[in-house]
Amino acid sequence: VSSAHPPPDEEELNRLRKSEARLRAILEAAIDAIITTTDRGVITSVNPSAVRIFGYEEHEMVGQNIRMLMPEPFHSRHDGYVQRYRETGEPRVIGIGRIVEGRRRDGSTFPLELTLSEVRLEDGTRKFAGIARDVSDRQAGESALRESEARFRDLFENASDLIQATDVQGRILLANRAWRRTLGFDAERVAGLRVRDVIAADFHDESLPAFHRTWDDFDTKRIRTELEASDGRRVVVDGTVWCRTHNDRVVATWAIFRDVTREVELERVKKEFVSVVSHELRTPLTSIRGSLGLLNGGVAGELPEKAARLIDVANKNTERLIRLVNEILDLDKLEAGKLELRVERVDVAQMVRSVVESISTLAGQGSVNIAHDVDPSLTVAGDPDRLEQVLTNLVANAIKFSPADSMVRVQASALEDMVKVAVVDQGAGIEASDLPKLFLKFQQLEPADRRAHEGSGLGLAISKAIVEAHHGNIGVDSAPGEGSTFWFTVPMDARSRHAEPARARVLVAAGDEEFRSKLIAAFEPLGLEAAGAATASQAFAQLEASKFDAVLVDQSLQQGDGWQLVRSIRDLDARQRIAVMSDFIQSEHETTRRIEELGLSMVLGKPVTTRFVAETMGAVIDDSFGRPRLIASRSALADKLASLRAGFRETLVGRLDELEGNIRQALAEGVESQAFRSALHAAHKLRGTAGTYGFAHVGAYVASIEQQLEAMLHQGETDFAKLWNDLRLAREAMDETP
Amino acid sequence: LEARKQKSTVEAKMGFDRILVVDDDEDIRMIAEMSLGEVGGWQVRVAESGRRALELALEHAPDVILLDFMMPGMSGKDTFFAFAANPKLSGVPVIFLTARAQKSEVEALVNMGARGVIPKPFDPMTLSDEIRGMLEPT
Repeated sequence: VSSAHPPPDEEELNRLRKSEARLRAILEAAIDAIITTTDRGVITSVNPSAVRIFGYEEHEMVGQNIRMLMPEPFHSRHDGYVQRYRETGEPRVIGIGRIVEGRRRDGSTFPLELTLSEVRLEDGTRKFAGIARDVSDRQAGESALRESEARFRDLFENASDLIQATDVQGRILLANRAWRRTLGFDAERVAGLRVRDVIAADFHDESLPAFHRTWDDFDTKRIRTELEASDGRRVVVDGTVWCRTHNDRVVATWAIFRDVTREVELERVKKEFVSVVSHELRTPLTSIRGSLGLLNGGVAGELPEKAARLIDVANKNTERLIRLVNEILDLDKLEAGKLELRVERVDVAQMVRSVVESISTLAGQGSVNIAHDVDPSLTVAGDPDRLEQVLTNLVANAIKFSPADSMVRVQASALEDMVKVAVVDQGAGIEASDLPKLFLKFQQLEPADRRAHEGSGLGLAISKAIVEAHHGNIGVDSAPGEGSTFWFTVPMDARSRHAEPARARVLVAAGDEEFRSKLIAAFEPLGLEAAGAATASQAFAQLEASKFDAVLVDQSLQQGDGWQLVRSIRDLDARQRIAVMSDFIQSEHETTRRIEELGLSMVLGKPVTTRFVAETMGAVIDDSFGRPRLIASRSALADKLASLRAGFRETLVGRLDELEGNIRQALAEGVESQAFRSALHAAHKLRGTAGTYGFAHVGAYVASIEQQLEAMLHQGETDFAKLWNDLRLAREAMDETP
Repeated sequence: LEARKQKSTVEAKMGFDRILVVDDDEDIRMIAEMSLGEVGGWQVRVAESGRRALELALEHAPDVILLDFMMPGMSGKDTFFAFAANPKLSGVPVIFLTARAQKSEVEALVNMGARGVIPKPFDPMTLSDEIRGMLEPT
């Protein structure tokens, strides 16, 4: 067992074998070619990479002179190098990392990095070991780099924009051809220039800091500045400026300028043109409109019928031309970003109401119904006039493209922090391919029916500009045959994001506009939301479009019978609370019959105060009157009405006293006096009040008084006996009115 | 028209009946004169320049001056300040006629002391009413 150790020489031998195996493994595995030669250059060994790199088999190389692996002229010169080295000991290629050329078996050459070492053996002879690395790839990379640099230099040099690089002191390091040509400096003169030499003096304060940055905020800066050429010419440029850093230090500031001198000039000409439109076009338009207006107004006397028709045509088209001029100016301001927005809190429901009302008035009681349904708590931040302009445009368009008897709905809803207002029509719809054109200038699609489309083609472009100035969006959803929904969004007013609870809503259907709006206003202090309708069809449209807690139908409806409307509402919704207001309560029996037949909540007889009506409607919504048992509460109502009438009577007596006093004073002081004007005013007001509260006879006498006062102003005389008589009759009429 | 004239006469007797129209455009002067005179019932004087307006105003003591804003030479603004500087004329309300009606421009004129601003082109049948509306104490 003790003789298990191998003899020492055996162990040594083993170690040597292992070492050699390791060395061989390294040689075999090396990526580089490893070749040993004698001191005369005869190859003694090669590794597999040498075989791979040079393309010779091992046996083809071993025993041959190393120069076989070299192209001319080194091939021929190599013996000389070896000779000299052997004689002088002066190495030429010994050392690391020389790039020399190698030659493959197929005669092709390639760059190689050669590391050569010398080994002195114990017997005094020398051997050389060379490690050669193929650096074709690396060299290709370097030459590609050179090529790409050349390419970029070409781009730089030939770019049509002006490009420059400056150092931190503002000295110009590089400037391309466009730069040199535009500014009139040749390459030599550029070298001595500083950036302040080419930026126009009056732009130094504004623009120079951009070029003298000693820090980099990693941002490119956009600047508009003016350069001054060597001949003093000014060049307006839009520029992009950025810093180049190296090792965290700014080494250069680069700038690309685009010469916009022409564009700026064009812009100026355009502005001038707009100003010409504004002033030079409006002056003749003033004369034309003035002349036609005066002719049309009969100032030059009655016109023959044909002439009147022609003047009317001219007049209408002048108005149209004025609208067009105004719209062009509007759009110009919008596009130049010069539209002044007076941003305030805008009540969307109120805006929608006012737009719908004014359009209904303008369009007359047309065949298209407009309904609106807007959450009364919605408010936006915007310019009320401009937003109304947008909505008016959308609603007017919708009406224009709606078939008869169809419905246009205006809706608004909260959409995160925006409010979306939408105008939905039942028109022909729009082809998908036409949709993108809609908001462009001067675009009008072929109308489905050729009704008069007097638009300028600017309306939607203006609307878009206005909405975008509000940071909102505008768009349309439409398909042929399915109608269109034009919508826009506007940022919500900050305060309205905490929405109030929805209020109860009342629809007021009443023909008389003044009465209707007074009624609507009377609901406000009671916390009720009211919407108005002038006609039965408007009322019906509103009811179809949105929910109301109660409807008040005045018998004074325009175009149509209030009772018919009540029946239609009842058909639509059996549970809708309906109250009817009547100029006179017919017979008690007849009223009772209708109340029962139609399930009315209430019949109110005029005269009433708007406040009383509002309070009554509040009670109807609260169901405190009960339904449909109006009969039970009618006596209470009658009492209330009687007391209200008594109140009116007192008011009227007071007003008549006041009027009489005014007239006495006016007569004493003459028609020029303040008292006279007060008297006229008092008479006018009293006439209105008496009418509203049902004291019609009183109103008639007061109207006569008013006429006489005017006659006095007019002709300087009046019948005093009649004036006093009318006053007396007015008082008597009041006493006679139940 | 007759009713309108009658009404205007009534209003004229309420204290404002003499108006001076200043505009460099002859046609507009004529139209304003007809509109204000025949429809509005005013006694109208016209001036073609700011300088002439000053002379006429001193001579005729108008109740109100309708002043074109854009005039060559002595501009509407210059004329306005010339009126304001003259103690005999500084109390006369001035209403500007202008082809520029941006809100801020209108506001600037009103802040300057103008009684009102009427944009061109105006409606000749309602011009008088517009002016009287501006003259009414609020």
